[in-house]
Parts: sequence; C-alpha cells; structure tokens
Amino acid sequence: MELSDEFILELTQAQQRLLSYIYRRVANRDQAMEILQQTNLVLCHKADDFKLGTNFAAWSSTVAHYQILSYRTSLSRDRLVFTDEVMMFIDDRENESEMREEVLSHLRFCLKAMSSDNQILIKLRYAGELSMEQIATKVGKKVGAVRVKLHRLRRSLRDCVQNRLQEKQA
Amino acid sequence: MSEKKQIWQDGLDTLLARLVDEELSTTDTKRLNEILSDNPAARDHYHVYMDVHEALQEQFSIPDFTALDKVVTPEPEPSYRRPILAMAALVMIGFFINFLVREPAQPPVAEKRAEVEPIAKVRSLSGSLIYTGDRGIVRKDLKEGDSLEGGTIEGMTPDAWFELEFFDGSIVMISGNSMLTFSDDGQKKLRLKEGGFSANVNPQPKDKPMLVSTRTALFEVMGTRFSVDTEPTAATLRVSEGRVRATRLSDNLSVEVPAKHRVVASQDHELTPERLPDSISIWESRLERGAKGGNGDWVPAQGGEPAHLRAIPYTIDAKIDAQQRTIYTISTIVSRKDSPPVILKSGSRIRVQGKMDTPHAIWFGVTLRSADGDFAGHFQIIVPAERFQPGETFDVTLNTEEYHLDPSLKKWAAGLAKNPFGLKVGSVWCHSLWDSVGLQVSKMEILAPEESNE
Repeated sequence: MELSDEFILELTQAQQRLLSYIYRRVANRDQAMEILQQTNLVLCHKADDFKLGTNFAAWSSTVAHYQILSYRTSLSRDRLVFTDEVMMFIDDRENESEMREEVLSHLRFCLKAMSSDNQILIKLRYAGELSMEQIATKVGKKVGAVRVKLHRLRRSLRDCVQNRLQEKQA
Repeated sequence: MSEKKQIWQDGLDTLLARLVDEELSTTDTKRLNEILSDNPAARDHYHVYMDVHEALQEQFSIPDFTALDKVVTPEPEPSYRRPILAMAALVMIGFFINFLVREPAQPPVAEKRAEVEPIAKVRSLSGSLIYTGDRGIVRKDLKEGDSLEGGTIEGMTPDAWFELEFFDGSIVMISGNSMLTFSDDGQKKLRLKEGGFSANVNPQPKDKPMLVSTRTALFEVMGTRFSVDTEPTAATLRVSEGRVRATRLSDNLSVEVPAKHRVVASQDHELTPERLPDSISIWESRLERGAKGGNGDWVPAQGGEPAHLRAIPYTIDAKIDAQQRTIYTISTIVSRKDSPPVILKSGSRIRVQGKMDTPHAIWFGVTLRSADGDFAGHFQIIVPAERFQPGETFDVTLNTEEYHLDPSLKKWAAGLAKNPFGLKVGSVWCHSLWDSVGLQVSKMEILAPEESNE
C-alpha cells in the first residue's frame, strides 16, 4: 500500500466529515467508528483509483456509503438503529459537505449569543465529553434537570441556526 | 404549525436528544423509525438536529484519529511511507483542533498490566499543559519534580512552558502551543507533532541515538544542543553544538548538520545545511496571508474588515483553578524557519491593532528564546480596560522596556532572562482572562528602536 503524501493529507482531513456522514446514517457512535475504520482501509487499498485534484469528498463518501450497507448486512436487526427504509430516506441528502461549514459558522454566532451559564453547560457536554451524571455533579443540579436543560439548549441552538439559514436563503 | 406536526416534532426532539446522548431505548428506537418513516419533514428536522450536534462536536471536542489506526499501525514493514502516514494523522490533530471523534469502545482489560517505570521528571513548568501518559490517562495537574513514564505533553496556550529531564540528565523543553511525545526504552524517541522544542542532550549509548521524528523528517542525535520546529509540510532543525543527522522522509535523503547550522526538511527546500541566518529586529504579522501556527480563529478580510485572528478559549483544569476559568487567547509565531530570527532590542516597541466588543484589561506578551532555542521567558504588560472602546478598533504601541517577566515564572527567574532584549522572539500574544470580550487582532508588529524614536 504505497500512499502519496497528498492522499494521506486528503484522507486525514476527511476523517471528521466521513464520521459525520456515517454517524447520521447509523446513529450509533461505536458502529460509526467501526465503519469509518473499514472505510479508511478500503480508501487506502483503492488509493491508486483516486486522481489528485478530483473530488475526494465525493469519492470517499461513496466508499463510506457502501461500507455502511455492507456493515448493516453483517449485524443483526436488533443492533441497528434505523430500518432499511429509514436509512434509505436519510441517506438521500444532497449538499451535506457544503452544509457543514455553513452550519458551523452560524452555530458560532448562536453560541456567542447564549448566556455564559448556558455556554458552560454546552462546553461541559461537548468539550469535556462528560456524562450527564458528571455534569450534574459539576453544576450542582439533578441529572434530570441537566438533561432537560441540555435538550432545550440544543433545541434553541437548532432554531437559531435554522433561522439564520432561512434568513440567508431569503 | 399543525397539531399533528407539533406532536411528532416534540416527540422527535426528545428522541433525538436521547439518541445523541446514547440513551435511546428499544421503544424509543421504534418510535424514532416511525416518525422518520412517515414524515418527510421529520427527516429534514433530523438532519438539522444532527447538523447542530455535529457542529457542536466539531467546535468543542478534542480530535481523535483512532479510526486511522488500522491504516497507520498494521504489521511492520520496511517502508518509510507508513511512518509518514502515522505522523500525518498525528500532526493533523494540530490542524483540526476542533474536530470530534469519540473514543471507540475499548475491550475490557483482561489482566492487570505491569507497572510502568518512570523515565523522566518534570524540571519546571508554567501555563496550561496537558499530559497524556500510560494507558491514555490525562493529567492537567503536573508539578515540578513529578516522575513521568513517557507520553505526550501538550502546551495549550502561548504562555505554556515545560521542561523535562530524562534520567541521564538530557533535557527537552517545549513552549507555547506545541505537542511532543516522548519515550525511553533504552533509546530515547521523541515525536514532535506540533510547534517546536529545544533540547540539550547528553551523550547517548552507542548505536542508540535519540530519535526525533516529525511528519517530514527524522533527526538522530548522539549528544548536542539543538531545536526543532515543525509545520505541516516542513521541519526545521537548528544545531547549536555538536552534530545531528537529518533525514528527509519523503526521499530518505540524509545530511549531517554541524553546529551553528540549520536544515529545513520539506519537499520544496533543498536538504542542505545552511549557516544560521543573521537576526533582524523588525517584524509584522501578515494575517491577510492566513494564519500559520499560533493561536486564534483566523477570519479572512471581508467587507471593510481586515483579515484578523479572533481569540479562542482555553479553560483551565479544575485542579489548577477551582473555578475552571477560561483564558481567551491569540498568538502568532514570529521567528520562522524561512526567515531570520527576530531579536528584541532595547527600545524595540510592539504595536498591536485590533478590536474588542467589551473593554477589558488585556495581557500583551512575547515568548522569548535564547540563540540556542531554549526557552528564555515570557515577558508581558497589562493594558487596562480604559484604553479600549467597545466595538472600536484599537491601535496600541507598547514599550518593551516596560515588559516584565510573567509572575508565574518567578520561581525559575534565576534561570531565565532578566529582560527581553537580545533574545529571539518566538511568538507575540495577547489574551483576556476569564471573560470572552470578543478580542480580535488584525495586525501585530515589532518596531525597531530607531522607528520608535521618530
């Protein structure tokens, strides 16, 4: 497996995007990681098929797509989150890569508009990767209250991002 | 919104929260599938929710490239490509600091592992550091004298500084935003993933030189003083004393680098030792060309606003600061591989242009190195909030005669510079403590004394 530096850079840069692509189709973080590992192996084996300067994102997503399908057939139904039908519906989405950058930039704006207490809670969940119990201990609240609060914060961020996206489209 | 939509939307929101928090029950899974199957709008809703969840992960989480493990660490082969791939994955951690990947599930440990022997101790340190040691245990509470068994040390802020002494007396030191992995199993191996480090290495056992790897180069050290800086596509070695063998990984070409020379290992630079260049005393950041290294969220010029760096947060660990407060920091690297070292002279001034939303005291500082590349101190000055106006650009020119050693380095002051002059400027930086005040910087300059006297 002889890989060019350029290919390695493309592959490394694509990791987060590929994980996002896979995760939202399987809705399970551990399964997504396994599929990503398999996808990376296939991409490396097929490195010679990739022409530098062409669309690595599209090519790697296609490989990931087939790895998801293959992985699903290897698991028993009860371990899959989505049915075949729902998976097919969710898979049918365009412009995913372009959306990521846009959503991220709106999200930064929306985060800034949040109170510092709320920002801290979001940071504990995402930057600290703490469990609900750990967050609850840190902020001195009950687990249920933290769960509800985080749920509301995510919803409020989603609404904010969505409004900004709609404003831009308008 | 119709009543029917309201019902599925409320239900879906709750289910999605459980999904991303990994608390989805079998009943929840069934209900989620029903909603997504029956309502096209629910699928859009799902994607928007996941967009936000993933953006939050990307914004805040620490990168993890473990999914590349199978590719980068399979069975050993005598190929130089494999280490390149491994290092590329590791170096990219520096690029994608906002990336998220959760740690994959680890298999249970079948038996207790053997105790790991320490190989070095912490000589001195300051600023925000993270150490990842044996079995991936992360520590942010390192102290002087702590014994370490090998691992990765990462400077999280421009003012971070860490000096490590191996048990044979060899010393390595990182400062600022750098990430260095170190080990010693009879042969010392260092891997510089980001930033720079310097070292003073005692003579090593025959046939077991200290190995220093970066993404683009491998350096073999028998006993010498040197420093290394790495960027994504290049590594620069500067040798103060002794000799170091440098190998460019892309073509396996090697050269011996003698004292007072440097070599740049990159694709677009000839691998030939050059005499260390003369120094200069003026410098300016050119943020319109992008941000190379340093700290800050780079924003290109748009509208009437010039390209700038926005401060990024670093939250101090609870063991160091019980209140877990946050520093909002910006820094730029000054002395680079492709330019002569920049030296501060008595009378040099530092000019910073920028903006902030809310006036706040700002710490302006420089990280200095000796000619050998050793850390020589952080010198800083605090500018009070009254000097700034909300939302308006500021333009401050600071007299380096008024800069003083960072008080957190007081304990080691005897071994550091007494003043900032005659020393190489590693980086210039500024930060606000504890409050996000929307600090951004569009230009930093080091002005020569004659200019400052005009």
